[in-house]
Amino acid sequence: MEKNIKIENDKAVLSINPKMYDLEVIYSATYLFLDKSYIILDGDPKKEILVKIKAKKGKDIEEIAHDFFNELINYSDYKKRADSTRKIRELILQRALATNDPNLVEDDEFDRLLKELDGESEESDENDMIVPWEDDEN
Amino acid sequence: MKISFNKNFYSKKAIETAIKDFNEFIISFNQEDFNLNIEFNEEVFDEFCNYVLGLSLNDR
Repeated sequence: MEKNIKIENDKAVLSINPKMYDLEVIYSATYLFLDKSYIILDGDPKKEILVKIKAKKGKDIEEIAHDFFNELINYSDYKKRADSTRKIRELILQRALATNDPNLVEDDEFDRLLKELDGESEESDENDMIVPWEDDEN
Repeated sequence: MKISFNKNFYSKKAIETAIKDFNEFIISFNQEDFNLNIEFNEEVFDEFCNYVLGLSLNDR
């Protein structure tokens, strides 16, 4: 890893391979470190991204440089999980928004998911429905 | 001080906005696209660069 970090006095140049870390991940990590350090982005987003960091007063540049790579891994994992759960999160939100207006529910996939969530299956029929006892007396 | 912002990461709008916002610290400047030659009356160059980067990231 040391070959990816070059430190001189209170400055560091981090060399990041964009094939390993998504550009959005690098942006997120960069944003996080703006309050601890001064940062300039340079390089080629397709070949090698250079993150030039200067530590703010009282901050350790070596620690910042290593932490930056940790955050790249952290955000990469977050992005991967966010991508893999995007569909279900969208459906949950869609359901939450449609709860008060059933007329909005049109999507077949949403209907299927609703049935799954309610524990219903395609075979269930009206006979399975629970009828309130008051109705029997009428 | 001279700086050439990498156009792959910075937006021209962010550079122009930062120049406006740092107006009171700027003695003179000359901007050509992403190339900037700027002189400050205080040592705010690093803060200026961070500000441009922050704005560029926000624009995305």
